[in-house]
Amino acid sequence: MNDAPAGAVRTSALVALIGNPNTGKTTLFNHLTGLRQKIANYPGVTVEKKSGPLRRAPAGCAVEILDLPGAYSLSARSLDERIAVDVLSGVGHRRPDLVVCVVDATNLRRNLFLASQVADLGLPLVLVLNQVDAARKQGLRFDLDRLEAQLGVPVVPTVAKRGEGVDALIDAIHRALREPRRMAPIAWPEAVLEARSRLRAVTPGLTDGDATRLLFDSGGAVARRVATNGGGLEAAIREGREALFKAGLNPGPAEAVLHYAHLDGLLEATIEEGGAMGPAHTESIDRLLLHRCWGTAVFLGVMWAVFQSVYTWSGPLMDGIEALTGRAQALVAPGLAGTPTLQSLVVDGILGGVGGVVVFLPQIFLLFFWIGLLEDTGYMARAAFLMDRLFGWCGLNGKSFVPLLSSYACAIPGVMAARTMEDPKARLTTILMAPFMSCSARLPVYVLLIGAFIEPVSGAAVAGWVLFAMHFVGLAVSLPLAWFFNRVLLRVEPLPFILEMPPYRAPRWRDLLWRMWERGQEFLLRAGTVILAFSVIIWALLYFPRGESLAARETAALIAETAAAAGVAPAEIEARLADGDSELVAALAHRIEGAQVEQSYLGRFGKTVQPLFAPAGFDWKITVSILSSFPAREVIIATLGIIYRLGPEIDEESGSLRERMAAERWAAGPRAGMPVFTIPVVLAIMVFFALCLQCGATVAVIRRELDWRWAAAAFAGMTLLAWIGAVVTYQFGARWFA
Amino acid sequence: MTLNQLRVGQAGRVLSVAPDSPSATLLAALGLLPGTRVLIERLAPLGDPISIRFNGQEFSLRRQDAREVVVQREGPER
Ligand SMILES: Nc1nc2c(ncn2[C@@H]2O[C@H](COP(=O)(O)OP(=O)(O)O)[C@@H](O)[C@H]2O)c(=O)[nH]1
Repeated sequence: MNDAPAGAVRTSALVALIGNPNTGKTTLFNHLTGLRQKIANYPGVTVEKKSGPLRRAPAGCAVEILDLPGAYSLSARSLDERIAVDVLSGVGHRRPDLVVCVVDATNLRRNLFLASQVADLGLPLVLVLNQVDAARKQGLRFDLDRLEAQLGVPVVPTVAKRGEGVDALIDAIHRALREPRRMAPIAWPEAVLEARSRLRAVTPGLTDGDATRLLFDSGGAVARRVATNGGGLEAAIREGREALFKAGLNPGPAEAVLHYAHLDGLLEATIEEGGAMGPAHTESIDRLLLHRCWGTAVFLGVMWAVFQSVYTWSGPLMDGIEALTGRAQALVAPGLAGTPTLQSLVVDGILGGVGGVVVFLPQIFLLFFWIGLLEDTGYMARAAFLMDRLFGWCGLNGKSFVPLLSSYACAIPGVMAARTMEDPKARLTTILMAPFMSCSARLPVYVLLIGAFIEPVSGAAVAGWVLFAMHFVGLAVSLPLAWFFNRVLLRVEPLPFILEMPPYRAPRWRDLLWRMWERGQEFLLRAGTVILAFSVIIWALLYFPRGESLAARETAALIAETAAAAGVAPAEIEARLADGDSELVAALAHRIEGAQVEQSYLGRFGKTVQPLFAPAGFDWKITVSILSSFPAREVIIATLGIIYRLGPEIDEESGSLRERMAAERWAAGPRAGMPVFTIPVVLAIMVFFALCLQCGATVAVIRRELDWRWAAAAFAGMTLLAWIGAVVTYQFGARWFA
Repeated sequence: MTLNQLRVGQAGRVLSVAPDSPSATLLAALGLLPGTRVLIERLAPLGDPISIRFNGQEFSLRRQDAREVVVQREGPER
């Protein structure tokens, strides 16, 4: 073990902070480290690793505080708990010199179970008795001296919410680093000791603590770590558990039974219950909030507010950011006019890309504000309770609701919101489903196509219904898909969905805002860079190669066409153009822009792959527009504008774009002369948009939250699905409307 | 009978829990041990999950997880 001998001088120390969920661990961590925390991921997994230097370290010794994921026990199988066990055993990491275990004073016995398990791993402890204010209110009194003497480790009472006791805790950490103390060891029965030594005999290097975990927790972290060591171990575990059974101990709950018996002995005469009741207000609030009708109504109201804030209330802020981006672009552009390529790179590629990242911040901030509020007050657990049934059947759980709902505004905060889910499989499913929800960027496409082609034919009522129905295409496709993968193909055993209903509490605004800020910052730094790279790449694909003779050719064509149409001499048009006739100049610019896109790498690619999209009824212009909108789907409107020579500054309500599209005819092929945009084609385009992951930012966030393989799989899978959807829609539609 | 068979408002005492069941092991870690008294607090609007109270704490769990816990029905608290 790497304990320094008592009194020896250390130069660095690692202190792990552990505790049940909702005990105030995060609040305490913020107090211990100030605001100098580092957030990273544990290697290979997406569990957040938070650490920071102790605010007031002993002289000559750097103390690092590592915040472990909240857990009830070391024996459950979620990723969080596995990481806690690995860190505490010093796997892939320096072994902590000291563990600070935060316990909730209002529920001491249950909280100590985790401490007792940690102690059994052989680590020295400091116990933080947090929320003593709440405990006092409930009439609980602690004999701290006796508690310390019985447990054998320092006990520091705190009120993390108000920063009380933090200085005493830091002192206690200093002292414990000098003189580590371990908790009174549990007296394991003979059967456990025997099984343990048998396990150690077949597995070299196994500690007693690890052997205990292995014995009671056969699918847990230690089992995973030593799984490769061959069959002898498995037999030894099985024999050990059988021996426990023979000794009258059911190996399932045995560990808990023994620890609790041990704790009951240690806790004797340390807590005095003053007879006051538990948090009674919680029960009366729950009678309303978990009521079959009223509870559901309140839930819908709360979710409406969450959705509105992300969907609508963030609008002005997003518009402001877009305006600022435009302002910055206009400001920079003239300075770079001498170097057109650099100008386009900076203005369209970089500034446009940065703007495209920053524009998501208001939604992320607002959503995480709500999530923080719902979690801090204790309502999130209730919401999950109300909704679990609706989602459980396909491998999700009640906690999927908020991420999926917010994905209707934007998948990016939605994917990030899935962090509130402990079950990794359910979280994975939720993240992969999020981009199927009909986000706000799909709306302009629906509005354009429905407004241009469905409303004139079928009337406003039908148009409204089609728009409504489009919002559920993604959900209708992804739910059965989730069910199929989770329940049929992989037969995933759902993790137990056991959720504490914490007492209702007033939120801590400062912590809440801080967490919201953290999320935004993280998005900017980690996803932002990837999004920026995407946007520069797509810019290059649309900008290069430059058509050298384009301008001359388009000028000549414009002059000839305009002259013919107006019945005047070409020289006259040429003169008007030279005079700077604004209408002609704009028309020329749009023509050149359109021609440039057509012969850019992306344009050529689109023309090449058009046959692939022909079964969906798409011509090359639609194909190029769709390809160009892979980084961000709303871009399609601008691309359509460019391709139809109207310039990029049009929007989905634009009458001229609708006219141009309606007038578009097939130039050649079997349908030559027929309109391109028929109802089946329009529906196929919309289905394609509903199902496709055309959003570089979402791909980047999925990569960040899962890994690049999942991001690539989601992208490829959804593209394929979108293609299938579009083809099926068109083929059915073409027969139906024929 | 098992925990999921109790009705809302009914209480039971835990007799035993299934070995090798992750949900039963987690419940045991939370203090739901043989001998513990447990009360069915309420049902979710769609009948599942249920919420239970024991040792002064409330948890929500799915019926399928509650099946892993064998209880004996008890009268109301004296
Ligand atoms: N009454 C009381 N509430 C606290 C105390 N410390 C934290 N809380 C509240 O407990 C909730 C959970 O705190 P948090 O730090 O997020 O806990 P974690 O889940 O363990 O990280 C928050 O609403 C805090 O404001 C305390 O000492 N007393």
